[in-house]
Amino acid sequence: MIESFSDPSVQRGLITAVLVGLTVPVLGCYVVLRGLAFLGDALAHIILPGVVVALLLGWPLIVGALLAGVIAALAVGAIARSTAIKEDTVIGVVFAGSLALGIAMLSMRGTYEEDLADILTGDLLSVSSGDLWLMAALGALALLTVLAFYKEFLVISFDRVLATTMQLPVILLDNLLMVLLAIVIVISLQAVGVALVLAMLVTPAATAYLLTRRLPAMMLIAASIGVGSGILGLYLSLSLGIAPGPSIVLVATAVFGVTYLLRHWRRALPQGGQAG
Amino acid sequence: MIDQHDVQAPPIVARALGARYDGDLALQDLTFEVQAGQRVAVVGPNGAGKTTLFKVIAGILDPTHGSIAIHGHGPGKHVCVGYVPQRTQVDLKFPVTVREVVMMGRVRDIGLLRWPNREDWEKVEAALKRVGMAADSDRRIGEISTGQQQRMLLAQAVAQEAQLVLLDEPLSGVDMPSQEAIFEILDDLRRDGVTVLVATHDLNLAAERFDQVMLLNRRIIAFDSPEQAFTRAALEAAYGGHLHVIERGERLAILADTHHEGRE
Repeated sequence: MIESFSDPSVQRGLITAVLVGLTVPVLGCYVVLRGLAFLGDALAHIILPGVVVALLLGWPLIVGALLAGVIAALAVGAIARSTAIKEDTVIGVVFAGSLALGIAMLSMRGTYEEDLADILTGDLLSVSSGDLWLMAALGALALLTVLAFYKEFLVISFDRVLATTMQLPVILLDNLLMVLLAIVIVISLQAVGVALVLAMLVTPAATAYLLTRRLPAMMLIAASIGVGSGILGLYLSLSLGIAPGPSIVLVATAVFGVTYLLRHWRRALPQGGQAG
Repeated sequence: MIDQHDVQAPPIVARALGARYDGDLALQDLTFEVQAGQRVAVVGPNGAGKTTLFKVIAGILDPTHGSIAIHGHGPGKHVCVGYVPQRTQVDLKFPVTVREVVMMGRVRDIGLLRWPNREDWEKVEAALKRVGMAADSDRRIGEISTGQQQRMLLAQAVAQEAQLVLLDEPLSGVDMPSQEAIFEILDDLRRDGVTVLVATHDLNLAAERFDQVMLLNRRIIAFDSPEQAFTRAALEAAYGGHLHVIERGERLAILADTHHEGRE
């Protein structure tokens, strides 16, 4: 079992899992705090046509996904701002349409079923070293951008009225955050797949939210849980023969469940019941 | 970006100002001026347009008619306006401390791609001290009382170095000591020449603690010193039957049944 970690594809898978666990939950903190879970899930599915186009053209999947993600993130914001239709409805329309388009294009290929399975649940052990470098670069870019715009993202997430009163470029910052979300979703695509990206975005951040009430601490804890779940999930996947994507997500979910129960019990105890 | 700010011009000059809110004409034909350093109570029934007026002044909502100038320039070019919305709009579950919320007032001044420096933190500490919240600066915002939340938001406007501060219902749901603390801070701001507009339901406080009163019900019914503004005719024009005016010697005692929270 341990020797399989000397396999280069497993090593690349491990690095990918760590990369995903580190970057996605940090952006996930904004998703949790701003209630954007539906948007995050939709973005992951909206990316599908881009992935399929890349597959058909023989491009790296990540390039197609990134293009589709950025276009979709900007389009959803623009449509929602310009009509009376509520944003979640616009997201729903674009989400379902993109998913249909992606699957329709995919169904024209002979290897439809295998391709679809890989895209939906990820293919952690087939990450090429080229993909890995690209993911690392994108992840670093996303984290550095969060660091650079930390105070602006904090204000637009906490108090949009204040942001508007102070004449901050709110729409520009919103779009930037959307693009960053698209980037980390693309990074996690190969690790956990379209169907499970939401878990990496939301679950570690939600767990961290239960444990702290400071945003920097929340980001650090979320990233730690993400990395830990990535490593342990991959290990369990190899030793128990489970698909790696779902295995990682199940570990993260278990961490959330245990944390939730511990918090719940502590609060239920009369003397341990400090507000938090 | 440099704040367009003409110190000679009055803080607010409105001419035939009109604005829509949710499609309805919430403000009509408002013409008024506010002088520097004044403390103005904006009173009127629910739906009178108090919040809409504040949003227009803060540059959040564009007027549909007329014009408004803040220190000589259109709204939306100022970082000198501090707007403290109704407290119910603050997400108390958000993971930030009191100090971090006050620092948010400085974000625009600090500018993009920069982190707060020592001077910024000193301004934040000074603002916290000024509202008597220095000891609570590391507490999470969900842990403090409603009066303290209001003082924290005032400190944010102080840290922003706002010259014109708009407070929407800062006094509702706040206990007496916090109410006194808020007025002490407002007195302090007045000494610095900061202009303050306060939307309030409390007509008696408006009469006792403010230089000027704007009686609003989509239009300006009266805008004058409290003694001049609060006439029986003006109050009845603003509130209709929802008000009981009792003449007690020289003064009018006012009982309004508008204390419930309302959507505006």
